[in-house]
Amino acid sequence: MDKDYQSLKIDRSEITPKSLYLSRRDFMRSAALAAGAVALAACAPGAAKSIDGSTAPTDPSNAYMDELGNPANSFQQTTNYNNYYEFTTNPQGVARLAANFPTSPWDVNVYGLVNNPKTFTVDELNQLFTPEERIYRMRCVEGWSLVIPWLGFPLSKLLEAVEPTSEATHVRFETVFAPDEMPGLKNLSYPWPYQEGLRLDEANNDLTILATGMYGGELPAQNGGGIRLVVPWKYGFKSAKALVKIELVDYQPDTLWNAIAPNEYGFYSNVNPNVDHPRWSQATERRIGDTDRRLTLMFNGYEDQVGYLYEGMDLKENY
Amino acid sequence: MDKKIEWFRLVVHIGAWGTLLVLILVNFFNPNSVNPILTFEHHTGTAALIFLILSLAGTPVGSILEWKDFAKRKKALGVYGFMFAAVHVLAFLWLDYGFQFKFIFNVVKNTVYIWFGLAAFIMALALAITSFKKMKQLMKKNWKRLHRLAYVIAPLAVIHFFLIVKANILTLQGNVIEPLIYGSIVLILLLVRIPPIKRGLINLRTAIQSRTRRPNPV
Repeated sequence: MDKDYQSLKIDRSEITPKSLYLSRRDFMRSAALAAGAVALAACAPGAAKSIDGSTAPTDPSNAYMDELGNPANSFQQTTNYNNYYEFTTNPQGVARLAANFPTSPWDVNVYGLVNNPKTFTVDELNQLFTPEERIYRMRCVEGWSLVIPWLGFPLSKLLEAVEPTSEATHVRFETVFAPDEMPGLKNLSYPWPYQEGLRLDEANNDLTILATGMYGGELPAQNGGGIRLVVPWKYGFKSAKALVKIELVDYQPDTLWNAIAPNEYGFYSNVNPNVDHPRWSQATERRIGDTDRRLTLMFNGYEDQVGYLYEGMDLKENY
Repeated sequence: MDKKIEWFRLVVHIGAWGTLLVLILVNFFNPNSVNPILTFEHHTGTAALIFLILSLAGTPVGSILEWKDFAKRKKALGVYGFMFAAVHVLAFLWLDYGFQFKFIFNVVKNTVYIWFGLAAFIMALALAITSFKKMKQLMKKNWKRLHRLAYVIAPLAVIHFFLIVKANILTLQGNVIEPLIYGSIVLILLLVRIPPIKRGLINLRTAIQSRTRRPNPV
């Protein structure tokens, strides 16, 4: 147990900037300084260990590592902390409410400005475009992040198959609307169904995938099963879950969060530590399971692959 | 009568310490708690707001509903509200940011909801420091004036909550239900302090009481 914890820490110290990195010893010392909080001092360092320690030794998911050397989060972590307001606004409550949500068979309708509109089943998609493993960082706008090994295929392959017409400029994504199975949909404070959108060149970037599985297995309902979008250089809410419609359009689509608060959730919503959300800072994040925060990377660390998409654009204006 | 008072007093003290213990256990000693630091920050913030609201309820519950035992505990409830606020702030400074003030300064500067929370906390600190009997005697009239700050702290705390959730306060879209509930309770507790409303509610209570007594006069 300790050995796994140690090896995790070495990886972490290599990639976390020193200024933000707080060693375990420092953490203990600052704990001791906080004389007023005896109860907290007793529990907090142990808590961090129990999270890493309880999942690390037995969970095979720790064999996964992203290209920057970050170990993937455990399956247990990824499946028990989900922002999925169609079920509930409590991220720890989604797994329970989604337990009986049917993710198979699953249909997704690809239509709009395309030559070959078609409704695919997820099984069909998995046969047509062999899913590959993509280990991506997922950065939530709330300031936490996960590393997740997805199984999926580039969205560009599907778009190639349906042949967008020359008028198509954007892709609109729509999430399933199933109020009987998704209790959060009864909350009328949101303009359901969930919608997202990408520019066509963003959609065609090789990093953009449709995921149909993760950790070598199926895609659990709470993580967006039957099929979801994964756009790793954007804040997590752009990666819409449980897709039923993919429409090629010639306008910039509305998105749910942009419709609610346009000055806070832009269409692009690229991960950018230099552009704070109007109400909170985006400079740092906490990887789930970590004790310390780390600096957030430009485009979530995918600048080399996606920077060209935004050349000449003012990213403060186009947040 | 004395035993009844002790009973409610016990509920307040056990309720507060029990809540703190449960929040620590649920977040830090629970394998299913995946993002414990953030969740603990949310939980302690909510607990601080609830105890502050209970404290604000003391006076109207005592005068309008005649539950005097509750009114007697409003100070303890307020001090516990401050305790949760202090744990909340400590969790932010220590657990979340490891006392790295370079980052903390930057976050406080750029995070609007923290301004409201910080203002509320500084005022609550002033109330907590002066909550002792001796201070009350020393400050005389000024004590009551200072402690009216509770009427400012509660709305600030609700605004702090509203600004954290992913929502639009103006159009009431998004994750607004929870802060809206707390906001409505605070608003009601402030409104029932306005003398004509307070008198009206007391008259209403006495009217209901006399009507229920009428068929069976003592």
